[in-house]
Amino acid sequence: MLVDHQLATEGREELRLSVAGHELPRPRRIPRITPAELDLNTVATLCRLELVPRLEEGWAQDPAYLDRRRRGAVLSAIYDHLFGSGDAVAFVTSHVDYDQWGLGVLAAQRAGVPVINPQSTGSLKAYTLFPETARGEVTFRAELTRQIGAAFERDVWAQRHRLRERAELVAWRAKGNFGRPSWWRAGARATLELSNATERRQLRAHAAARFGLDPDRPTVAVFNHAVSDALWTNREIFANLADWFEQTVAFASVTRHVNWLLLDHPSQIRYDRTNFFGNLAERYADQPHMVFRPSATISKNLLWSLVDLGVTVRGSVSNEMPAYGIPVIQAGWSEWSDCGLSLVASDQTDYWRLLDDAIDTLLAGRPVITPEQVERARLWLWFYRSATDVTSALVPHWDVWPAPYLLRTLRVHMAQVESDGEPVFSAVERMWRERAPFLTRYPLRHVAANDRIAHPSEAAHAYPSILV
Amino acid sequence: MRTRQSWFDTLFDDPVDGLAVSSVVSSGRDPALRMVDGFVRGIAVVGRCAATPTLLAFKVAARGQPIRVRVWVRFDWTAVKWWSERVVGGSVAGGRRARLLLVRSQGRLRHAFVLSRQRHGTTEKVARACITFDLAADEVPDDGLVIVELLDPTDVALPAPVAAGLVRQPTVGLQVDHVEIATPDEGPAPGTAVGWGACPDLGVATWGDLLLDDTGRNRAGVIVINPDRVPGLVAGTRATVSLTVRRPPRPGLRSLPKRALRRIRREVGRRLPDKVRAVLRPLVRRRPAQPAPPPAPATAPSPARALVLRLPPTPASAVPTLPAPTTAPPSPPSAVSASALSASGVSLVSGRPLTVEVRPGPEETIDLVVADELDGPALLCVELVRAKRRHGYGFQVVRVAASPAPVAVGH
Repeated sequence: MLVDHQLATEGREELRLSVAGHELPRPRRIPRITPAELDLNTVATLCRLELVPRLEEGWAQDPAYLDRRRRGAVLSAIYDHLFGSGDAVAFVTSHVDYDQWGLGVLAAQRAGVPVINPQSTGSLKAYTLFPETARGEVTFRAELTRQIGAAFERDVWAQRHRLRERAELVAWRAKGNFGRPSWWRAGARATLELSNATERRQLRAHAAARFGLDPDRPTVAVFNHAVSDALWTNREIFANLADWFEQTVAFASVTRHVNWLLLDHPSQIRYDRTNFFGNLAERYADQPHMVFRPSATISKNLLWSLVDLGVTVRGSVSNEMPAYGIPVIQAGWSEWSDCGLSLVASDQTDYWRLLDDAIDTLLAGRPVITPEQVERARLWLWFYRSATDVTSALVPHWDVWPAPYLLRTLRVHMAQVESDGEPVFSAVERMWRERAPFLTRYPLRHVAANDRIAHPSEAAHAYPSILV
Repeated sequence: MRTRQSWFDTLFDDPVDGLAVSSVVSSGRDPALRMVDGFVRGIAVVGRCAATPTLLAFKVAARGQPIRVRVWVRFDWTAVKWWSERVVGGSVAGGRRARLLLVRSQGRLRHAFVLSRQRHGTTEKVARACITFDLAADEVPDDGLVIVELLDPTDVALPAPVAAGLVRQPTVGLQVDHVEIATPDEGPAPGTAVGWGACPDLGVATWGDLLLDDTGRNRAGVIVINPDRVPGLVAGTRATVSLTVRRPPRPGLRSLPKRALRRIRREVGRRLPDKVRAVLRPLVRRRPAQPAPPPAPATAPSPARALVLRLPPTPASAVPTLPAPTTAPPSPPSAVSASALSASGVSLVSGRPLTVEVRPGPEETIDLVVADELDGPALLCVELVRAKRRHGYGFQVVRVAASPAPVAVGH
């Protein structure tokens, strides 16, 4: 409404904002959004709204684009006013992409306001970017990738001997699809029941027969992303997700000495109305070494038995497959891409080199993945599903669903449970005090070898609490 | 905790003892059922298929011995409902159609079967079958699995009526009652004809009625045979399936609405004088009176074996409660002649069309002789070509046998 009003008055009226009856003071000057940032954000927003992987030629003169860009500029100015006033403690946002959230994140970063991005993939997870910890990466997510990587190295990998049993337990539960994040595969085809190489070899023959592939050749699986999903919100080495997939498929078509399994994203129908994947499948239908399928039609058991190398931009297979010994190449960054569990290409040249090298190594019968990568991947599973997942009925687990159950759980907790020692409060306080990039269930540096040993109490507060 | 064996293993995976040879898995909770795919585990049964293909994998401690795998599969009313819920979202009409399935194990096609709940005309339904195949000693490594995969025959060009009359995603809903891991025995002597009741039980053959359209009038029959289960079927011999094709004797009374028929039965039971009841009772019985059964219907299992087969499931014995192999098939009168029948066939392994000769057999039966040597499970399709009301007829497999040489026409 505010944006519409500003557009109607064409900026003649001075922007006035009040929060809870308190009018925000005129903001101090903060750098305005750059035209390039606004362009990028507008294109990503339009792609998502139109369900297309990329805009058509001449998009810069398209009235729809220009209109959206004008709205973006106004929205960005409002965010500037909000965060530039000096009263904002933090920007808490469920999303960090597209214009309605993404412009706020950019404004908060320019204004030096911490950005907290809670996620509901388990109980309560949140990533936070404190302005003083920024390293000049291109986006909010890219900053976090760096910081998560550093924290993982310091607090997790350095303590791997103490954490091994915990990580193995999470890896064991993940095989049975327990502890899964909200968007993970579910149902009768989502468990991993393989336990040794003989079983994998036997199942592989069945999987290859289903697709008409030669089981004795290495198989590379390329996981297409939801093509209009949050473009460029982390570092990507191709122009867009569709370009990456098209070029990889073209590479596959001439790399005939291995099998290629091209898999579409399970939720693609909500992200693409151009039949991007179907058109590619049709174009390469005469290639017997390439199989195009929706990924949800293949069970995890079959996939894990057939695939020798995974390829993705930022998909979760790049942390899940390495935990069970299958190497993955990433053509972009993700939350875990700095944690040393996958092969992350730095640019396009590096990407093709990584692909060539991995295929040559597989053809030579040598392992592509290292034991260290497998261990790091299992530690990531623990880190993501356990250590950084704060459990409290104040934020019920996503699986406490549908809404009436979830709200009743919350109501009972708020009415009947005293807030002393509330895990959410202490976790947020600890993150704020330590300027840590994520919430943790307990202080990671003091984690004992297993749950049966009590955690040492925390050190004295070094920073004032966010909650006072 | 223990040492990790591979990257799929974790420190919390406990080793599982394999099934001993001669044991039965009768619950989906059996730890030897190591892997299920597109399948929902059961408690008192192994479980039910939820997707096509379906895959089950068992840990078996064969210890260098060959094994026989037997899997009992049931096509019940719940299977129809599951199919309609999961495949077409509500309509049960398609879910009743016949299901044709291939069985792959250890990477190779081993068996095929068809299940049908249709009972039009005089065709007996086969709604329960026993998948039976043998694995050589080197095919069952102790650290490996015995894999049973149920598949849709998507790569085979089926005869047109069969392609039209089958259901897609055919495993969905089928129940796996139990699975037996046994020692291969020699079975019936080579050349023995296997009678109709024993065919599904021994994995020799299964059959069913195909609805070719929604009217129910246009129908064909489908028969699936497994040559490795036919006693004595080796190079130089031919598979022969003997049928009867008949029209039901009292279509008028049989086609009465069920409610009216029930009322008549009640009247017959309560009010009428004994003499009248005695006259009417044969006419309103649920199944028409049976004339003399066709000759030599069954053979293979001895009476002693039949007795064993009726035992309830225990880990030590196998369990089918199928019709006794010696039961005579229903065979109403009005048989049609061989000249009214056409038959075609296809190999379910290679997709190769098979030549099927139709010959008059003894005692009003018709012999389908597969002129080609079989390379694995094969499908035969039969259709009436000279009958005005095809929906009134049904076919009944009487026996399956290996015949030493092609028999001259007119035999």
